[in-house]
Amino acid sequence: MEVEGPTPQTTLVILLGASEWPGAATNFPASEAFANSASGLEKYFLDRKGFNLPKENLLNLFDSTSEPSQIITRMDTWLASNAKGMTDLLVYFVGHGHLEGRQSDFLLLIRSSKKENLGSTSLRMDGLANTIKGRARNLRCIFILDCCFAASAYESLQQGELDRAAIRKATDALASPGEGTGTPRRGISLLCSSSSSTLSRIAPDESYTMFTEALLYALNHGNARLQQQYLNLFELAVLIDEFLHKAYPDKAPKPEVHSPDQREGVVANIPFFPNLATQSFRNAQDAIGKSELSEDTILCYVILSETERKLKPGQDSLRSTVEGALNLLGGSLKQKKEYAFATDIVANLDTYEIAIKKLCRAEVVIFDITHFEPAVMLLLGIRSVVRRGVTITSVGAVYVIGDLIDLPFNIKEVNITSHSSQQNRGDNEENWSTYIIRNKIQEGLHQLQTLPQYLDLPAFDAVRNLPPGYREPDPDKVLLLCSYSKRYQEIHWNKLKHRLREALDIKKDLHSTRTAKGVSRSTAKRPRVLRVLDLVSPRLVSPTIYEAIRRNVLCIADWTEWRPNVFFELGVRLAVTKPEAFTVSIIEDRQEQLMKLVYDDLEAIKKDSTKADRFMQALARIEPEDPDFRAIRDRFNLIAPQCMRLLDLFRPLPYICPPPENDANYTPPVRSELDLYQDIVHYYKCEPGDESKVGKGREPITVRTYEIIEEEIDVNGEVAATPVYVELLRTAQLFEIEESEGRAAVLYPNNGRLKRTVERGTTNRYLAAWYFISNEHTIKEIIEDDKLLNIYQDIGDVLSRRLNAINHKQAKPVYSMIQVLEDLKPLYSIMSKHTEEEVVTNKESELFRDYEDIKARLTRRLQAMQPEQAKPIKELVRSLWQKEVLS
Amino acid sequence: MRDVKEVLMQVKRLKDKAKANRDFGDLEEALDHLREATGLLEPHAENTEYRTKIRQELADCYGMMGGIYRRQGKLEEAGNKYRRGLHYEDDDSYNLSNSVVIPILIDPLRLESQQTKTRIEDGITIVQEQVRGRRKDEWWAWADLGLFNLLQGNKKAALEAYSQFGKVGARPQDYESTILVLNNLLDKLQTAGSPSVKSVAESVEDAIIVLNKNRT
Repeated sequence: MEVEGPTPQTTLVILLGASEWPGAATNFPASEAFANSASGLEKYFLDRKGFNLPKENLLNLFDSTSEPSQIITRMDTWLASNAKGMTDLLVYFVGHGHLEGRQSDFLLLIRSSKKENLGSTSLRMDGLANTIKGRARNLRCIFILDCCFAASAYESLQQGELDRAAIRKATDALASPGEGTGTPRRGISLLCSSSSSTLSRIAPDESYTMFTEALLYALNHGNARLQQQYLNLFELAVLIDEFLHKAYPDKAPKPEVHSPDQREGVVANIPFFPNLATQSFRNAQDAIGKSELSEDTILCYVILSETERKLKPGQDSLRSTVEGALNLLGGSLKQKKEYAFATDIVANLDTYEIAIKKLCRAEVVIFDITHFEPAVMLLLGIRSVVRRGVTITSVGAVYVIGDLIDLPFNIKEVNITSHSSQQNRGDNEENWSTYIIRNKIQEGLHQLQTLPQYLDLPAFDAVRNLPPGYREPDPDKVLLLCSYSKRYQEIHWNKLKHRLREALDIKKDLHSTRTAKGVSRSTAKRPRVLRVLDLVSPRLVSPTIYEAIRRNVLCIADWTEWRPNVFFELGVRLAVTKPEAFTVSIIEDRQEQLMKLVYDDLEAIKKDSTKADRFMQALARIEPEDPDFRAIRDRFNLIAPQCMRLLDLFRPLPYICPPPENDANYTPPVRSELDLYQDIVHYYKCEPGDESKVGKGREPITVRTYEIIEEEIDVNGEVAATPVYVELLRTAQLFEIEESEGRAAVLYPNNGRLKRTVERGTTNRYLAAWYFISNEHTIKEIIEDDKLLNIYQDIGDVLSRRLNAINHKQAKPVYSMIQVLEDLKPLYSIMSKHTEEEVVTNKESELFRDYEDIKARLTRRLQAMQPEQAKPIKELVRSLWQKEVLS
Repeated sequence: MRDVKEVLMQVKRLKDKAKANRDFGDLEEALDHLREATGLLEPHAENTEYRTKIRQELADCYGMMGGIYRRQGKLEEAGNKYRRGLHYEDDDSYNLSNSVVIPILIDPLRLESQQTKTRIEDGITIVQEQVRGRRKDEWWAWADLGLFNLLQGNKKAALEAYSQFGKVGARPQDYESTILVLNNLLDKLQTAGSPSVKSVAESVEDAIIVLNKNRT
């Protein structure tokens, strides 16, 4: 199994220690150096150009006034709720250390430590180690200890002996038996310092401790000799050593690395710290910065699935397939590409927000929809609303194009591809998937430019093209996005529809006439609860759904069964919902609890299939004999970490379905069933103006999605934002006939009436585009804008010939104008860049000859024009040198 | 060397300009644009990736040049350009039919030579193959097949081809262009005393009548 490397999103950091010890000040002197060291390290971790750690991944307990037991509890609780889905933990301590008693217990002093009772008022290394080994047992841990030992406390020990004893104690406490090789997924390494003579560890200017000063220098400067993006703990220790040796030649402490838990290998070997000396790293950081700032960045954004993480060596991945395709394409897409796992994106609100921005900005997005993971489908739903760009969906695992695949309803029409190893074997060419993705990108970008309403996902136009009279918010219906499985319909829907109606009935009195932010709640009757399939409309199903998703003020997404269609529709809903409407996620309480149990016991489940089956029977109400059982079970096991993150991010409201009998895992809710259902329809309870308040199923994410998109939306992607002449030209070109081929563009070319009507319509579009530019822009504006000039000339070339076939008199002015522009552009260029003197002084010069030739030709052409048409052109030329140039 | 895609875009623009010039009678200017286009294309004629496209464009440009020389009455030059077009695309039916017709326009009696007859027969084989396949819905392919059949003396097959020419969507201006070519040919054929040539002329005349009838 491929081991995940550390990333800022999957790393946790805990800062411990103190800068003063009021209860033990006589033995343990205070120093600002400790505080500076801790804040310097915090700054490095949180800095975007440093480690770039999300804020919520850092727990700062430095200088905490809490008791040691409280500090341990804080750490324990924090790790319990944050360690899931993480890969690494770093614990840093700076301050005084102490060895106490016969057993020489290793104590880490905290602000509340008391001189008379250091043992019970300080952190004990073994207690700290137990917490870490318990709560972070599945993570790689790095301990960094920067301890000062007060010499006065140890009459019999030299400083070097003190350090040795402390290190031994620390490694003993953190140790676990066994020794593995390779890249570990768990284990512990320790970075600390020892000194044979130095008593003081504080830098002479008291700015930092010596050790942390060197550590910060190494982290912030990296190692330019190593052309690698990341440094491991050993490499970091070498840099620290070099710095200390240079800065404090006589009294430098010596950094040491130990690995007390190496059951799966040595954590200190894992590339962990960004090597900030390498240009490539800085470039990558800069690129991220720029892509966040630049409005017009072309970016290829690739959303990866959990299947990608679990690939065996030799299996084809989407990442390698896309890399190959981008290499074939070259250009800016290759330069500005990014990959992200959907699970990492939903790690927290920050990572999610960054991803939403990229979905808005990226010209090309590629989704790995293998197993239709909820987070992938959610992001796909959002993408389908935010940009008329190129979006490619690909399935991996064992899927081969043409195989029967049960696509979620919403993406049945989407043209999916495959990046599986099987796709590239057999009769297919090697790297077949790479070529297909290359061609899809190329073709997609081309069609995006030429087809007025290019679409590769379903919702973009559907949420925008609402017929007049169908745009205002609809408070009379509550839309339920849900699973359509037989099980769900029989069990959940039957329950939900009754309970929601009851809950809405109780709130009926509040449906008085009132308007809040344009949302009318004038209904006197109870809003109806509808599923997508209950919507009545003569239109196609797809636009009907997206219209309802946009209009209904309350939309409930039921996560029960973790269905792909629900998450796609939820993505669409979040992208189109204004802050004054409500999107409430719900889930059957039992399913939420079981998903947490599956996640907590993931390792055990992998080993014990009967355990997995038991969970599955309870979780999905599905028996092992069911043909879908295995596929559903494997999917749940795969997506469990992602689901946990989604649960943390959205906090769906729980509801109760048929009371579980004899289910030992089930914990009934504290609140009454009716209260839970009333929370779901809270929208109808809150006062106008209070809708924007967070809570009751309304997590920040449900509001932020819309707000980010509102800021980031590609303004040129909206239909009405396209310049009118471009739209006319594109439509006309759809029916343009390539003269040398002579192939009709209409579907029924033998129908003369149809042919003539379409021909007339096409000519009229060219004519309208021509008139628009002619009336909207001056000749000077057209001449000075190369892009506009090219389009104007292209339109003129085709239009003049089309008109000429009907009416030569009408065609002539158009033709005359494009002929004039041919010469006006170079003449304008010469006259605006040079003075008259520069041009005419040397009559032998090429410049003069060009000027004379163009002038003569232009004069001829203008003479063939109607005087009214020629007038603005002559005036423009006259304005350049303030004299009559064209006779 | 310029990027091929950029060249193809530039050529499209030059061809559009040339067509406009041609339709408004500015024939020399049209030729200038086409010369510029062929100058851009020829260095890429052996380009591996775009070989077919480049050669099609070259054949088209030379065909257009041939047409303009023909309008100017410069039949020798026109013939040279059509042949040059065939060098790049030997089954281009427009260049193929015109390279057969031009010598007949110069001397109608050439219609009786074995060489011309063989070329007409070859032309029919090539274009028939095309209209059975990829050019089934291209009216110019049907017009070229009609012309070859007329020259071979097969009026029935010619009229069938012209009927198909209309069915696949030829526009009034396409009829007009086709009739102009046939009228031009008819004028020359009528000057020859040979009975076989006269018979072809009668077929051409009938075809013109049918086309005129169907043009609206």
